[in-house]
Amino acid sequence: MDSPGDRRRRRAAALLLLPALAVVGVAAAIPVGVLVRVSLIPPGPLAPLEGGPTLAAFRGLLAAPWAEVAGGTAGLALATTALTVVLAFPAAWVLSRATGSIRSVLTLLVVAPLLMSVVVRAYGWTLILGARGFLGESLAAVGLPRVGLLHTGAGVLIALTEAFLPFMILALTASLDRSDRSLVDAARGLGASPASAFLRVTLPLALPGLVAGAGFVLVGCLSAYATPALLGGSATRTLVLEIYERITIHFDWPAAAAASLVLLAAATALLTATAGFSRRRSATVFGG
Amino acid sequence: MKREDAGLAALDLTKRFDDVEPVAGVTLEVGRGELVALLGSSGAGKSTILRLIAGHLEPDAGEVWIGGEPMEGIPPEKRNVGMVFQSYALFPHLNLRRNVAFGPQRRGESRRAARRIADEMLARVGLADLAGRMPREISGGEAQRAAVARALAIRPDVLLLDEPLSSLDAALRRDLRTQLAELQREFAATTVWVTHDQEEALTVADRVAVLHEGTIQQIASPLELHTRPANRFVAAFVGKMNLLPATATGAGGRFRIFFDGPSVRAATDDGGDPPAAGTPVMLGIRPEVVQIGHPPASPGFNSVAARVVGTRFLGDRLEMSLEIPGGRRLLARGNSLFGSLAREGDAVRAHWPIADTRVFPGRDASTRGLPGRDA
Repeated sequence: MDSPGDRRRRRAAALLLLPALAVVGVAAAIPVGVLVRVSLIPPGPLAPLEGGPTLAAFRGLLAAPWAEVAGGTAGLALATTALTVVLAFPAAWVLSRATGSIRSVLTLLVVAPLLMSVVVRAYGWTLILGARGFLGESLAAVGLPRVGLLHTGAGVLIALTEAFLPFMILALTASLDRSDRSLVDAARGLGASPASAFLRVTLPLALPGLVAGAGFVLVGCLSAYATPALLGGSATRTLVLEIYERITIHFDWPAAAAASLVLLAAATALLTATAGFSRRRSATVFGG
Repeated sequence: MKREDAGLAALDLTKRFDDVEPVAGVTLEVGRGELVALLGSSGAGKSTILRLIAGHLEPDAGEVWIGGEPMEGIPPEKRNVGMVFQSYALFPHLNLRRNVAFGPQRRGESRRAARRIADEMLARVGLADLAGRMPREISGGEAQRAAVARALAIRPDVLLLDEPLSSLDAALRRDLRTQLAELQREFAATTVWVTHDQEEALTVADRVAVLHEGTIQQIASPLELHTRPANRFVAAFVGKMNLLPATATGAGGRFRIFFDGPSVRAATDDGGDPPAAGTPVMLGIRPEVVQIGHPPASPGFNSVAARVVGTRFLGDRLEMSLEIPGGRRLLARGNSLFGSLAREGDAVRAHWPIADTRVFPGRDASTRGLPGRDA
């Protein structure tokens, strides 16, 4: 039922959204349009930006090295997400139980890394992870073989996990905040061991936040550039790095554009699916 | 009662916190199948005691015994204690059937057997039709019954009810109160029922324990609590009590109230020595025992001159505020007052049985921490 007041409010909302929509339109829609146009040009090294339209660039994505790189990228994203969940859960648990100034301080500690550029943090990791860095020197100091994780997949995984951990902690905390603290006590009293209470009560109730956070981290990893570029070296090939090379080394803009569009579609689908699941689940459990 | 024989024994339980209500040396023994109400205002330590019994908290000192077994170091899931939380704490992601089946299943029942138990329990509390509903889809009264069904589904040795009715409206509360007390008797569960509602406590409980600032002030049957309060706190907290400063004048249980007029007598029949002459005391007189009009013929009454300063109609009873010499107020309440036809300003005589005149040591009229109590 529409009252005049509702309509007025909706009109006001539309007006208020207009500047943001304009920015998004200019900053996203136009480049995406250009991408679509470029992706329809016949691909190839040093391809001239003319001809087509053809789907040849998209067909080219089925050939090497794209499939392998896509698989590696997905694996890295999934591993990072899993690691952030495992590390974020205890932190989110503590945060959701904290009150007052302790909570403020803890929240600040969680978000503080976000105030620093990922490039700076990636350089920080190069100092830590190198064979001549903190890690290698520490191992050598206690008589172990001097090993570094710089330019390895593990190094990228560690740095990406560190980069996305705050988002996962905040997403999980939001979910844990909404559930009654007595629920775990209730489960224990009914006969559940601590592990069982976690699996059957705490985890299901944290699922909306977990899935929302996972969607964010997955997409973030898929589109990450600086961290894999600075820490991965030649050992780690991700879609974004591959796209970057297509442009800067091969000058194969159509292939890069086609890969970008596929990545964009995958990210959009992932975010839509996870956010939708999170919202539905939240509504079932908490009533909206 | 020995701790081995009690259904539940909390012995000298102590728990201190920075920010939560403390418990200071609470001893509470509940017989098998008995219902004890734990009555106190908020912050008195009621919920903490339940959490100590259920094992969600470890006491700093003292012991919990359940069914003759010491519970030290035994986690909640091994205690067989059913608890109904104030918030009900129904699992929001499980429907009612799976909520109630949760306990039996964790205790080794097959999924099918657990569901059958759940359906039986839900039917027993009148929720058979709602077994498939999610907790957010049911009313507060239904959630309360579901929580009770879930707690009883594990056939608990001890049932703990934490303000089970406090979030319901008054009419529903009275209904469910009776149902809940009946269920408790049917399951013969050793029960601690925490409440801040004295009417609730006095109605349902075999015995009532009055808790104040982390210590138990008195444990007694509802009737005894009302007629023989152990101290001024209980006297003022349970029901309404006129408290009048007085001075003891000598042996034989005679006291003089601090006003001009005849001294009054008080009962000292509870075995204790009467206070020495000159000792400051407080007299406690229930409004229900005060009558006005002609002095009764029997000698067992105190009688003082009084003036009616206010009347209040309570439906089935009348409440009269009387001014007695010395400027003190004495509240009288009962349906016999209807017959007196006294009106405001009338001079009357007030009497009450000597046997119903309680004496409490000290004359500090303060009853700190008392909630505003006006019946």
